[in-house]
This record gives sequence, structure tokens and C-alpha cells, in this order.
Amino acid sequence: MEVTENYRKVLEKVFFRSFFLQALWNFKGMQNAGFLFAIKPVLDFIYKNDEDKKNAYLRHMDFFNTHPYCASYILGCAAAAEVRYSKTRNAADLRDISGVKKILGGPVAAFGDSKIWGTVRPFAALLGTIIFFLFSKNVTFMWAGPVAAFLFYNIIHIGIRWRGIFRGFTQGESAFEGLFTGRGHKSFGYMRIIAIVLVSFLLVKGFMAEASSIWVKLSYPVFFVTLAVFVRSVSATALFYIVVVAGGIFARYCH
Amino acid sequence: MNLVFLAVLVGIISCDTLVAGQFMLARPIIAAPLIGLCMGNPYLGFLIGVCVELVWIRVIPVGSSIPPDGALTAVIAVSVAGAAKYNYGIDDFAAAILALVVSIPFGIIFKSVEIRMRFYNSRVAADIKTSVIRGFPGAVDKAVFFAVGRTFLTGAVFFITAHLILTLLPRQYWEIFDFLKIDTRLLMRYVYILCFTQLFETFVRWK
Repeated sequence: MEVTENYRKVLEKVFFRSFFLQALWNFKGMQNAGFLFAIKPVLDFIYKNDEDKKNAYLRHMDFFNTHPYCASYILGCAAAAEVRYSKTRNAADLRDISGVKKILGGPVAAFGDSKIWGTVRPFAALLGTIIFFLFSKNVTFMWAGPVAAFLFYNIIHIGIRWRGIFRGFTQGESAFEGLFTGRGHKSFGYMRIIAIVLVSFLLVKGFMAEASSIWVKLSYPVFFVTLAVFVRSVSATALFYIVVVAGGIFARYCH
Repeated sequence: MNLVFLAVLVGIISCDTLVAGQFMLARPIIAAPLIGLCMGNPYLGFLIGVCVELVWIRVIPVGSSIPPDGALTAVIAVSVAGAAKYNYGIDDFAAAILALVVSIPFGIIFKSVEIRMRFYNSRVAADIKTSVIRGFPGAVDKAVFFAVGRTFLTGAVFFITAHLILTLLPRQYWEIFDFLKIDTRLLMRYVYILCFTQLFETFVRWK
């Protein structure tokens, strides 16, 4: 579907409203109310009749859940499907509207959870951490860490939201091919490799840190290996308390 | 007055966690230094922010799961650690670790508050449906506006409550590392090792 000047303005409103997609997240319909809130400008623009508008609103109150950033692709697709239906009034086009949400919700959520929550977010945190440790003697320079993490994350985050709405609207379901298999997809793999190198650098730097005795120096890799063994089976909170107690004992008697 | 200003900031951070934006402002690595800066000790914010961010980095909000609130844990820890450092003159590492030890339970308690809010949202969503059927299409806009306000207030009030409770902790608690003669710099290194282990696990073994 082509984006005319009028549709561009409406889709920009959808983009800004998509930031509130999870405002009314609930256990029954999950993102249903948020989805209606986001797509509302499109519905108000294409349906002039109150009855049509009401039916369209109720359609989008059905269950919906996916990754909040990648949901913009589905918002774009659903908006295009609504525009098509408003012109044809065809039963097949009507089915497409809820079909696109039901079919794509799962795969898009899996992609977002793995790539955004599982790769981009930790990578941004890693960037901030690296800068924090590199400038650990100068508090002013340390600010570069959070700023770099914030910028890196939001360039990707806002980019996905913006492109998702317009690509979903113009390309329909084929917009997802670029998301799942394109250049962007490969970059997540590279990000992971760079992250492993950076984490290894941090670890080596940590193991080389000055220590008061050879026992303390040896304790760093021993702590790491022990934690690596239990990190999957013990919760992060429990591990934190264990480290504080065990580390405290070690710091008291072996220092 | 300073506490009210911090509470407003925490309210904004709470909104960013889920209901509005998700710009990463609510990530501990960003929120904690901001609170530290407002308290005049950004370094403490960096210490706590990095620890909370990395120790819980593998905890992600997949589907309907609600992880303990890392942002609130971090900001409560920074405010309490800042107050303890100011009152008792303890070092940054001791303040950060001891504040984290007592702030984590508040992050877990806030998780149950959030679950209640989500149950309440189910009722709001049902009301929106009823309003649309009755011919009030603007109900969803109003509901979203109130949801943001509700989250802001809940976060701010929870922060003030937690801060006031934790500042009641006795002096002996904050001086426990001095009393036990524990090298806090070394203890902090072990916490960092836990952080790196979680990071390593995230990138090497995450599928």
C-alpha cells in the first residue's frame, strides 16, 4: 500500500502512540488495549461512520501480545489491512485484519525476545560497563558509559518502531522477510561475537587486577569458574547473596 | 524537598519500565547514576547501576512473566546508600553492597504490586470495551492517560516508603564491614566477577 501525505501524518501519530503499547498490559487481553490506542488514529481517519468505527475498535480489543518494539510491524500491517477493508468491504479483507495479528504475533515476539532482550539490551549494558571500567578513575568520563548505552539502544529501538510501521504498511507481511533474514538480522550475530570478545577482555582485566596475596589473585578465576557452574541452576538474586557472604568471608580471612 | 524531587524522577523512571516509551531510562545502568547525580554522588550510582544491571541481565520480561523491578531496586539502593554515606561516613563500596542487600527485597515486593496493577488493567480493558459498545470511543485514550499517571504515582510512593523504611536501619548495620574488618574493595571485586559471569553466560550460552 502506498503512503500518501495524509496517511503519512496518520502513521506518524501511530508511531508516537506505539510507545504506549503496554500502558494497559493485562493478563486477559495482554496488549489489546494498547494496540487499540496505537492504531486508533488510522481507524478514526478511515471510518467516518460511528457504527464502522465501533466495530473496528472492538476488533482490536481481541487478545494480542508480541514484542513491544517489533509490534510496530504488525501495527503497520494491520493498518494497511484496515484501509483495504474500508475500501472493499470484502469478508476476506476483514479476516486479514485479525489474521495478521494472530499469525505474526508469536514469531515476531520470539524474534524480539531473542534479538532485542537477549542481544541488543545486554550489548548496550556491556558498552556502558566497558566505559565505566575503562574510566573508573574519572567520574566525569564515566558518563560516557550510560550515554553510549542509551544512544546505541535507542537508535535501534526507535529505528525498529519507525521502520516497522511504514514498512508494515507499504509491504504487508513481506516486511518481515527483511526483519528475519536481512542484513539487520546478521548484525545481531556479529554483535554477539563482539560481545564475547569484550566480556573476555573484561574478565582478563579483572583477573589481572592487583591483589594483596597470591591466594587472593587465585581466588578470582576460582570464583568465576564456580559461579559459571551454578549460574544456570541458581537464581541471580540467590547468587548475589551467596557471593556477598562467601566473598565477605574470603575478604575477611584471606586478605 | 530533595526526596520529593527524587520521587518525581523515580516516577518517570517507573513509567519508562513498561507503560511509556521503554527508552532504557529505566535500566539500572542509566537510572542509578542519574539518581546518584541528584544526590551529589554519581560514582555511587555507577557502582550500584552496573551491579544491578549485570547481576540480573539474564532476567527478561518474556510473555506474561514479570521479573523483579531492577530499576526500582537500583534507585532505592542509591538513595539509601547516599544517605548512609552522608550520615555515617562509610566508604562507597560498603555503602553500595549493604544498600543492595536491603533493597533487593523491595524490588521483589514491587513485582507483586505490578502483578496487582496488571490484574486491575484487566478490569480497565473490560470497561473500555463496554464504553466503546455504549458509544464512547475516547475511553481508551483516557484509560492510557490514567494508567501512566497510576504507574508514576505508584513508583514514586513506593520509592519514598522504601527510602523512609531503610533509613531507619541502625548505624551498626552500616558499619558491619568495619566491625568485621572486611576488605570492601575485595568484596566488590567478587561482586564484579558475578557480574561478568552473568554477562559471559548471556552471550556465550544464550540461544
